[in-house]
Amino acid sequence: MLKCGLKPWEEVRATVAAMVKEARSFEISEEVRRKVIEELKNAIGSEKVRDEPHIRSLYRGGGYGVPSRLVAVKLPDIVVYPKSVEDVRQTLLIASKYKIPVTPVTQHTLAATPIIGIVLDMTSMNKIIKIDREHNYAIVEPGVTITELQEALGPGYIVPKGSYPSSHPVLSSLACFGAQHNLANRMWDQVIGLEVVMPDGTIVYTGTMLYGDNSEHWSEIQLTYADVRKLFSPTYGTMGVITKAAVRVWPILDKLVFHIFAFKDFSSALRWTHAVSKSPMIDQAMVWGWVTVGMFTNAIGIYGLDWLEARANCEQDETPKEILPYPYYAYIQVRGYSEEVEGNFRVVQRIAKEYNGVYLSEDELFKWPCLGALYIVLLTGYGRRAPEEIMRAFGDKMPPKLKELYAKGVIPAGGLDYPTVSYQFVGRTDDIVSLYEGLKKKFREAGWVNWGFYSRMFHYGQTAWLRVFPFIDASSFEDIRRDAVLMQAILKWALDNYKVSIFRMAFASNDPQNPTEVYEKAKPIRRILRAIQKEFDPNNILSPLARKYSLS
Amino acid sequence: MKEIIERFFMESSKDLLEYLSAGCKIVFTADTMQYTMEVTESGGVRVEEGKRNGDIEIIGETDVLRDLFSSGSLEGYVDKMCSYIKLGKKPKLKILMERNLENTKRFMRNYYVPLLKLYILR
Repeated sequence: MLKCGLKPWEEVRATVAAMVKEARSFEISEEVRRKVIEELKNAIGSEKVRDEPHIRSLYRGGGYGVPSRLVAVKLPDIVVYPKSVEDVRQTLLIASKYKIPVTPVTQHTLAATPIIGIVLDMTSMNKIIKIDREHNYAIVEPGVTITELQEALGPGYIVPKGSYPSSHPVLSSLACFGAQHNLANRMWDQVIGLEVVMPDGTIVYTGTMLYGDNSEHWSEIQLTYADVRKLFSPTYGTMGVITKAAVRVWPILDKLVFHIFAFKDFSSALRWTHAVSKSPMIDQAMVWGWVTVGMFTNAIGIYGLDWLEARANCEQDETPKEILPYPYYAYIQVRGYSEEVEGNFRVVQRIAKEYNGVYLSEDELFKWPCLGALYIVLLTGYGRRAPEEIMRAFGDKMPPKLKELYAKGVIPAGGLDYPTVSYQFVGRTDDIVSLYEGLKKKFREAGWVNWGFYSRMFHYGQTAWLRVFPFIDASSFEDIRRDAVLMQAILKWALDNYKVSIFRMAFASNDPQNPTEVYEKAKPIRRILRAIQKEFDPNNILSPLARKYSLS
Repeated sequence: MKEIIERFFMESSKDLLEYLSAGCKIVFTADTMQYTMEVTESGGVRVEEGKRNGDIEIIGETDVLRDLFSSGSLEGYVDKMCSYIKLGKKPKLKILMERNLENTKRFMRNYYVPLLKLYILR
């Protein structure tokens, strides 16, 4: 299928090296820098333009995970804090005039490519413009965080947020570099409408806003023009700078519950999530292995040296029985009217029996500190339950160590703070199962007897998704490089041997390695994007280093 | 075996000593024989027969440990360890320290990084 179009990996690696080299050598003369700062200050106000080293150093880039820190090569030159669409417009016009690269960010150091030139810190645009509870959407600026939107919505709504902290902006995965994801299974399609400032100062609107805002209702439902929402998401600011978005919010209705089941193998767990996700009631369904459960529930804090010993000795399918009773756990998030939620619970239990899944009741979960912690992680992370509510409901059931750590605020744990190289795959459920089994052998050969991963199930089971994150030896720069290269070889092996696609590689491997560079079939799309870029961004100021659609 | 372990740490894999602090004690158990390696104040190692208050223990078959420590370099050692993992013969790691927070910190400080290499601990 796609395999014949795969470029030699060395070539892809070379583009990373070229990008880093170019970033290193990028210079603005002091004279130009002064001029640009002065013009920016005059145009948008001096308090919004900063160039002190301690401010610039917050934006040095480097992406998510230790290996991609290799691209954190230098400090950007100027940081701009826009407060309005006009501020963004003026900044882009001045940057275009001087041909200086601009990178919009919402996550400071988490940008996935080196940042040079001007940083546009969008977190300073943080107004919630509108909330329409009756029609389940909100209009937000790029700096509005998940927490802020959730608090404004009140207790009856959730904002999909993936696995990441609620301190992240709602739009960070869509609008800006520093992308995390705020998708979750069937809540994949979050954006209803966008307002985008192009580098030449043009402002683009999508959806019903194309007809002005007469209806005072922003919807994607129109058939007059092509639906261009996804031209801008996710492009991480390389096509235009998103300044406003209408996003979906989801009513809890009567109940939001989580059910956790245990499985003896990955295949059964994933197939169960596939089968149950066919019901429109399932918001999300994930599989976590014992390593992932321990990692996200602070097993090291709970079990200390026993956990480290287990990580050293137990294989991927071999759970440390004194810490976790099963090797695989799958959970579902269900939301709806009471009668539906109760009926759905009977259905998922019946289907679990077909896959030898074991339902873990709240009593059973709280017998095991890490499983109790997992339940708390889900209830607080996705279910919006407050810590005091958790203590009230489960304080008596919690094992003492869990209770002690939860009271100290160290549950959940830091999660992906471990040094890791992470890859994400999508495909059919059967193929993701085959890939998982293959990776188990391949990682083992390379020395990893166990590793972190989690799966998701998108759009009612239409697509299975797998994120793997083996931990790496980060004791020296060379060790990081060696493990990153090894992981890259394993990624190539996976793509050569299994019918799966890459979901996104930007975090760990930087943009030049994303599929638009790797696969020849992406050329027409790149032509389309390049044509738009030529029209609106003739000076190629929006992240030229990304090279995804660059003019050269 | 005693000499092989000594030679490995003092010659073949000298870089590893940069990560091991003075006073670190590792027990290597090769079937029924035990050897305790201690990192000395002068930055060298002393290997003695027997299990002498070690903090951690690596337990494997004699042939496996002998082969691993006969490696001419740390890279060679890691390659061999991967082959033994494939064969299901990876030595076991036992942490001998009493279970408390202080010792967890001590393990992370003194042994985690050396074990990233010596045990491919990840």
